[in-house]
Amino acid sequence: MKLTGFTLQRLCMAWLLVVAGAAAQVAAQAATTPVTKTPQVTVKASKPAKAVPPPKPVLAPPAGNLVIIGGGLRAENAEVWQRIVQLAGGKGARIGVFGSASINPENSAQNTINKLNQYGAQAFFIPLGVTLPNSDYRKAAEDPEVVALVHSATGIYFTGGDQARITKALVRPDGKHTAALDAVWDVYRDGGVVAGSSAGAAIMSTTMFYDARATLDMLKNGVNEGHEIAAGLGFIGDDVFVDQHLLVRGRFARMIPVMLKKGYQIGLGIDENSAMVVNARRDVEIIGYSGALLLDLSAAITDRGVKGFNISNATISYLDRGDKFNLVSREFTPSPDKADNKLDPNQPDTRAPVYTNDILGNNAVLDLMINLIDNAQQEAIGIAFGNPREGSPDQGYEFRFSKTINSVGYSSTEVEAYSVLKLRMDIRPIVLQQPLYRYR
Amino acid sequence: MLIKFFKPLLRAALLLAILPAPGSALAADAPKGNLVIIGGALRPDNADVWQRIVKLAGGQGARIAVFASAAGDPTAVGGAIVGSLQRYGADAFLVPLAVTLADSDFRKAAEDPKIVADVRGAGGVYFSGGDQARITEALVRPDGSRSAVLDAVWALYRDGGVVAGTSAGAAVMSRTMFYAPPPTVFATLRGGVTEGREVAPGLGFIGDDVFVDQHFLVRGRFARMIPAMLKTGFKVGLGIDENTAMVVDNRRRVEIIGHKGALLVDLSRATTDTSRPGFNVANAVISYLDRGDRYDLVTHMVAPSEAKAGGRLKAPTVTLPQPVFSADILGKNAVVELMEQLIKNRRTEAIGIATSGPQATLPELGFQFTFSKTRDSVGYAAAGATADAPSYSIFNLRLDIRQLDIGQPAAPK
Repeated sequence: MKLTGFTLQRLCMAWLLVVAGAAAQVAAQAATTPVTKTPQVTVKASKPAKAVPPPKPVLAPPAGNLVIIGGGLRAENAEVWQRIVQLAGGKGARIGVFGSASINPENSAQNTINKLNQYGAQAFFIPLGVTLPNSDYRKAAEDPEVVALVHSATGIYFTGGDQARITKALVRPDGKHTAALDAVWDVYRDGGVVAGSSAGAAIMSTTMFYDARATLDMLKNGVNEGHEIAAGLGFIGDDVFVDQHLLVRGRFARMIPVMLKKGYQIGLGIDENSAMVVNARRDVEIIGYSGALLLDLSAAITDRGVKGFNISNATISYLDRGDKFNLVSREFTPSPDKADNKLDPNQPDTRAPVYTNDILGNNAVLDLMINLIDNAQQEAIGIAFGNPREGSPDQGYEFRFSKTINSVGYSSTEVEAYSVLKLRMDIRPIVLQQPLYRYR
Repeated sequence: MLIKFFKPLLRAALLLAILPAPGSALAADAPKGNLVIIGGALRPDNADVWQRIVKLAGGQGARIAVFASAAGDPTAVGGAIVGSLQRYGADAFLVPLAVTLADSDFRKAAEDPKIVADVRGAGGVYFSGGDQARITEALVRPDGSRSAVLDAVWALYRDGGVVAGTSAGAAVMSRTMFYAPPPTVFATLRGGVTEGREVAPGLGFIGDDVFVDQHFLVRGRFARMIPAMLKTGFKVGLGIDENTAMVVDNRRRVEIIGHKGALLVDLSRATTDTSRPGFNVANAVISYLDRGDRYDLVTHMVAPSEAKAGGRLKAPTVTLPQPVFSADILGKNAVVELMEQLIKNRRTEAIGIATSGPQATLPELGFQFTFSKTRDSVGYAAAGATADAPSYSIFNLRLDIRQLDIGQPAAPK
């Protein structure tokens, strides 16, 4: 299949329509945003209004901690479970568990309660969920008993499932906080811990994926409020986008269209069985089995002259377990086992070219970044395209990763682990020759 | 639950009682010990694996001889392993035998009665990672016969001790091991395998009939195993992932423990079409054994872990929107990802492509890997534990590999 001029034109038209449509929608939304509890917060033009307001600037920043888990947290991951219990006050800490994201909230919560208790907590179920049988979730969310239950806790845990169910249960139809959500905020502001895994991690930022499509689709067609994305609960603040199950197929790339659309400069994606702990000083510490990807779009630009999704001069880093990153100063601190083991660019481990045909594959981006950082090569290329047997197989993207003067790698002296900091990333659309291959 | 779990094994045992059993090879002189074959990058906190080694060596206070012969710096590497084993309760010690050991004649050390006595007195041995060629160089005499120390390791294994090895130390477990393979798996697929060059004899603890490879979900290792197995006549190959181990007991039952899993390749019905150019194979069988799963090297039966035994996947009714396609089947973990997508899907076939990349100097060539379901294909998922990221066991997918001509993979728009 050759890409004809006609098809190209149609694609461009479609793209323009999408862009125009998105802009119109944003404008409409900004106009109709309900007046929230804090009318003094003016909505900046570059940041479309959100249904749920970020923490109120008139108040002191929350004194508590967040534990943002990438999903798939194993029962034996003592480091993460212990940290949650410790941040909730240690042995005997009362932790309220919301199973609201789950189809079966009570089961899902009970699972987590058992694990938290195994690590010394006194965890309990908070009966609030749109899927909870024989329960009116709107009533429950305003019920003084539920509020008192939340207030009695020094830690909150949101289990996995569908994040849309969490916001539906905790946010009023007009976008305001329910009494139960206000109570969760109180726990956080007063120094408690708010933890969440998978869907429970997605709600940590002011925007979350809602009805997400495949990454390649979202690169091709963009993301829209109320469809692919919606408002989250925003505990981490309005300047950081959070995604989870990071090394699952293409997750790192799907963050970019959202960040561009909503004006986020910083994006953090946390891997499974791993967590980011965010403290009151906004230090992010990575704990658990693997790590997190950090995207920085503060110097990134999109060329509107190029047809299709593109970005240049984005910065991508991989923060490994034990590493720290401050959201305010944006400073990085390697884990103690890596601190004295900065990779020497003049002594690369290899000089083999780094390339993948499937940069969206599980783990592929991390594998490529690690291969590049300890390599004499200055850049690596990853391609993304769809199944040749499905629609528009000739449309793809090139991801180019290159070293800059700021790029640094660290390796652990104890285990096989790397931190990779500040690689430049450029993405542009490509056309794949068809057919991609022939049998011999 | 237990009965359910052992049902396949029971059935196999019954079959064995009737048929002239291939298992009768398990004669009186079969080793009484266990093997712990680790895929490399074993973390100090992987209690599951470390504890098992210590337990199989005799438990608390067990003497374990650590060979760091594969390492470039045996003292440091061996010291770290001794430290980890001690933390898990063993009484481990470093064996001063390595071709890279300064101020030491490794040939003399390999025949040294003191070292022989130390090894014979231990309940287990542990081979570190590094370069497997250094292990065989240190332990095998130039004429191919066993050194006295290697004989002592075998004696320990035969008498019921545990032989553990990680990375290079895992590679030596089979009678053939990768020796000096080309830098990429793709080059191995393309250039083939020659005995004495890409592959060479290992120490063969696991027996003559199983090929072992490690760091398995690292870039395409599963694919390099197949040409090596075809070349050297292996029907069964096991590749173990990092931070994970296979425990092989004295009845040759394999159990997967640790962080992830292992791939099992069965070539007993596989064919190669020599009239076609380049490497190809048809009707290979590939399985992903997740942690907790078991495989019997005698009966060739696979069984899911207890946690998964009740979680057999029903025939999927949904056709997942995601393509069951991988543009880079040699990518890290890509093969397991593709197998998962296929087993959860109503589709019956998945395709993975491998290419040499745009910087390749040779004309563009690739391989197609076709995974298909047969009536033997089955998947299991564990319920509950990590519901938001379930792990799967996937048994008996058919695998066919053929060569391709690749168009230029991409051109700027």
